[in-house]
Amino acid sequence: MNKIMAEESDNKVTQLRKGILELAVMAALFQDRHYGYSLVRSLTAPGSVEIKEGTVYPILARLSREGLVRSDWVESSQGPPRKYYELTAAGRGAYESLQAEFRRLVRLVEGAAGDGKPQAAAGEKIQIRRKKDE
Amino acid sequence: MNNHFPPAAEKIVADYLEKLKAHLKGMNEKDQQEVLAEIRSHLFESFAGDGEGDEIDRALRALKRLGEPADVVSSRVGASVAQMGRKKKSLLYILAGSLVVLFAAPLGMGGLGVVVGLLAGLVALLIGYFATAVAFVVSGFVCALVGLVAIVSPDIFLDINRWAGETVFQFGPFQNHPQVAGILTLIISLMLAALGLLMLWSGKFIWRGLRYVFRLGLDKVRSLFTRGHHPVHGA
Repeated sequence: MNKIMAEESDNKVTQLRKGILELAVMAALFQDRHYGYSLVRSLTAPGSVEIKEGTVYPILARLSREGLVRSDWVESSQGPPRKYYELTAAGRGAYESLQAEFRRLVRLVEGAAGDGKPQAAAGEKIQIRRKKDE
Repeated sequence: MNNHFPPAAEKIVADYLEKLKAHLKGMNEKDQQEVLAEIRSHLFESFAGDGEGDEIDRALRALKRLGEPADVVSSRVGASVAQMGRKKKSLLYILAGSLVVLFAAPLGMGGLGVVVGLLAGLVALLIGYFATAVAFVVSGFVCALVGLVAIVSPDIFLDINRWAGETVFQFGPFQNHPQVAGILTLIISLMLAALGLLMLWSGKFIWRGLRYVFRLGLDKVRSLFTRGHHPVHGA
């Protein structure tokens, strides 16, 4: 039973990380342009979470398809050419609104964990998508 | 600047990239090469930044840190079953994903029974489909051969009929013109054979679709049992 619960817990953590990883990738690219490996290094800095390095590539591909990042191949003096990514204007706008939403959600969760009351500022609307069967 | 891995590491990386390429089917060649170049570049930096152990250890560690090829090329993280179908942009994949989500997810064991039944039906359909295709090809070529003989030496059939004392070979309205019957037979039978070949060729898509459906079904069954026989909720 404990094993099942542990697996469920692991799944939830994985889902949570996956959801937030895209925002983390955008956050890193908001600060600076990166190629895949440097992006992974910035996301997995000491004290940070561990991720499989390959998981950033599907995210970058998706952001690219959505027009939120653009990429360029740049020759490297240390090895093969690197594919650099940077946020487009649309990507920067999308990141800013996602980050604001994320902060509201964090306040909501932290509030629920504390005194049980959401900490959203007055008038702020927190939208939570619910499944139909809930 | 040397952009190459040492020989032993090169082989390990090349094997990995081959596996990765297998997951890129459906993508155009240029995009495939770009993905492979990007991942190779990543592995090179990861390998170069790891100074411990021999080159094989370093290459294997770089691959382990990167993850499985399927995870690297997955077009979305945390894809649900139905969304995986949409990713493939194929009606069959979407249908398969939807079936599993609709039946297997909310209904648990009962739903899995429906899915297993559907899978069995699909297998029967597939067998029937390929049997028909093969029959078309074989009968098409045999009839084409008969038609060809009727064109080249039409007397053979008339002679056989005479020797037999009855009409073994009937050419209907072309009884006295077996060459005309031969030409018609050749055309129709070649069309039949072509249809059979077309069915065999297009069958590979059906086969891939069915394989995908099976994988989804098996994943659902596996997840059901690893959850201790509790119904599966949510996709």
